[in-house]
Amino acid sequence: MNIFSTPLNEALIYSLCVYGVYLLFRQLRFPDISTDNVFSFGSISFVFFFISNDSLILSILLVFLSGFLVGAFTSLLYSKFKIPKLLCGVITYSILFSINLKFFNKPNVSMPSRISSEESIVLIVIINVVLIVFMSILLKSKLGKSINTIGNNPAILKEFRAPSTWVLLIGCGIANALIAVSGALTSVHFGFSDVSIGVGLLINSVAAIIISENLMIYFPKRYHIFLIPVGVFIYHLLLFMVITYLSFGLLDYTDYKLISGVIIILFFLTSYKRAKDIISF
Amino acid sequence: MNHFVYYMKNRSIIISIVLVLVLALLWYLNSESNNYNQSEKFQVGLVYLVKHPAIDQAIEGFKEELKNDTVFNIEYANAFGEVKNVNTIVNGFKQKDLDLIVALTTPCAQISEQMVDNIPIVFVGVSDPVEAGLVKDLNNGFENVTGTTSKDPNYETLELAKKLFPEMKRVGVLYSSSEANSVSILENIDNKIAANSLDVEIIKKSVTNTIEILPALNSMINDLDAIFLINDNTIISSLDLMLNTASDNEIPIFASDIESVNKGALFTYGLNYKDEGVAAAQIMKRILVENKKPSEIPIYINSKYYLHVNKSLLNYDIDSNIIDKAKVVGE
Repeated sequence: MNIFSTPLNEALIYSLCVYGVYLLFRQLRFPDISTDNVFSFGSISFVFFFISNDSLILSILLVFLSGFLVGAFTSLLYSKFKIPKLLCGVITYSILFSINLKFFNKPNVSMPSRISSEESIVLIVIINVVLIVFMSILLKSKLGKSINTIGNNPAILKEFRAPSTWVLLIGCGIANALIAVSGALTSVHFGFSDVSIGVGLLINSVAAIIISENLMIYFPKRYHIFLIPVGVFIYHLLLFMVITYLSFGLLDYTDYKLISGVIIILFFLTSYKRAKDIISF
Repeated sequence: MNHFVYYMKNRSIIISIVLVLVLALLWYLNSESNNYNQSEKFQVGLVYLVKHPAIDQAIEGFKEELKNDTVFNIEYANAFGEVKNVNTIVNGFKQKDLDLIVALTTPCAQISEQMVDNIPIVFVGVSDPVEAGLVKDLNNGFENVTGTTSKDPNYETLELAKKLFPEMKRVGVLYSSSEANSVSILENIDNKIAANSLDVEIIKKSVTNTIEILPALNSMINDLDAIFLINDNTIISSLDLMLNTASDNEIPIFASDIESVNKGALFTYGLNYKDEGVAAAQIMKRILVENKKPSEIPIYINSKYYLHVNKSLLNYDIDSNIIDKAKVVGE
C-alpha cells in the first residue's frame, strides 16, 4: 500500500518528538514551548557531530546528551531561578535561535555523505525501538513513577521527601533529548538541515497527542506508550490525504490548514475531558 | 454543548463513523484524481515554502511563459513555511507519479532531490545550488536535477551608490541571521569590497524577527551615511518601517529589489525574478517536450539586471548623467 508509506515514514520520524512533548505536557505538566527550536537544534547539531566524527550512532548519542542538557537548563531556570514555567520555555527557545546559527554560521547545510531516504528508514526504526523500549523500562522504575507523580500530585513527592528538582531535571532532560534525537533523524532522512526545520512542530505534536489520547481510553495504561506512534500515524495519514488529494475537486492546498484545524476540533470534542488536560496546567 | 459532550457514551462509534466518512471521501477523490491523470496532459507539481514577492514574480513569469501551452497541467502547493509540509507535498507528488517537479526555494529543492529519484526536478530561486548539495557544478545538471539560480547585482548597486554619493562611507545593513541567502549575500559583498578596495564600510546588524528591526535600526542610525536594503524576507516584510525611519533621519536608502524602489527606496540594479520563472518554464519544456535529460541541461544563471530609480532621488544633489538610462518609477 503505497499510500501509507509517507505517513508511516513521518510517524517514525516525529513520534519521538511527540513522545517528548507528551512527557512534558502530560506527565510533568511543564509547558516547555521550546520544542520547535530544540528540534532544529537536534537536527543541526547532528550534522555538526556527524561531520566531525563520521559515525551515525555516536552522533545520535551526542545529540541525545546535548538535548538532555538543553532540557536540564530549562528546568533549572524554573527550579533554581524561580522563573515562571511558561517563560522558561520562551527563554530557551530564543537562546537556541542564536546557538543553532553558531554551529555553521549559516542557516542551511547539507549532509556531507548522502544516505538515501530508504536506507535511513532502517536506522530510524532501530533508534525508535531502542528509545521507546528504554522509555517503557524507565517509566516502570521508581524514577519513572516520580516523573509521573510530579505533574499529577507534587504534594505527595514532598511528603516522601523525594528530590523534586532532580526528578524535574531528569524528566525535562529526557523529553528534550527525545525531541532533539527526532530532529537528528529528520536530517538523516532529508539529507540536510535548516534552522527553520522545526517550525510548527509543537502544534502538530499536540494535535497528534489529542488523537492518541482518544485511543488511550480503550486500552490499559501499560500500552499507552505504544499508542503515541499510532496517533502520530493517524494524524499524518489524514494530513497526507488532505494535502495530496484534496487539491483536486472541492478544495485546494491553501485550505488544508483549515481542514487540519477541523480534524483537531472533532477529536477534541469526542475526548473533551482528557484532551483539555493537555492544555491546562 | 457540555452535556452533549459528557453524556456521549458511544464516542467510539461516532469517531469511527467520522473517520470512515473522511477516508471514504478521500478515497473517492483519489480515484477521481487517478482518472484525471490519464489525460494527455503533462502533470507538473510546483512547490514553494512560503509566499514572498520574489517567489510570486518567479511564478508569474513561469505562468506567462506557459500561457499559450495547453499541454501542461500544473498544481501549485504552498508549504506555509513549515519544512515538514514540504516533505508531505513532495511525497504526494511522487505518489501521484507526476511528470516533473518544480521546486522553489532551497529547502524545497533539497527535499525533492533527496526523496525523488525518477522524476525530473527543476529548482528555482536557490542562491547556491552547489553548496545546497543539489548539483556538482553549474555547467550541467546532476542526475534528475537541474534548474535556475540568480546572481544578485548587490555589489554593483553599492558601487553605484558610491558614485552618486561620493562622501558616503558607512553603510548600514540589517539582515535576518536565519536566512541562508542573506548570509551569503553579505559575505559576497564583503569579499568584493576587499577585492576592489572600495572606500565603504558595511555596518551589519542581525535580527531574528520583525519586532527587533526598529530597535536595531535606531541603535545604529546615527553613525550611518546610508542604508542598504538587501533582499531579506524579514527585512523586506517591514519595508515601510525602514523607509520611514530613513526619511525621518534624512539618510539615503537604496535597495536590491525593484519592488522596494517602487515603494520609495531610491535606486537599485534590480534582477527581474520573472526571468527566472520564464527560464524554468523553458527548461521544463526542454525536458518534457523535447525529451532531454536534466543532467544535460546547464543551470540557468539569471544575471540580467535593470537600473530602477525612484522619483525622489532627483531631489538629491547628484550627477544626473549616471542615471539617464534608468527607468524612473514612483508616484
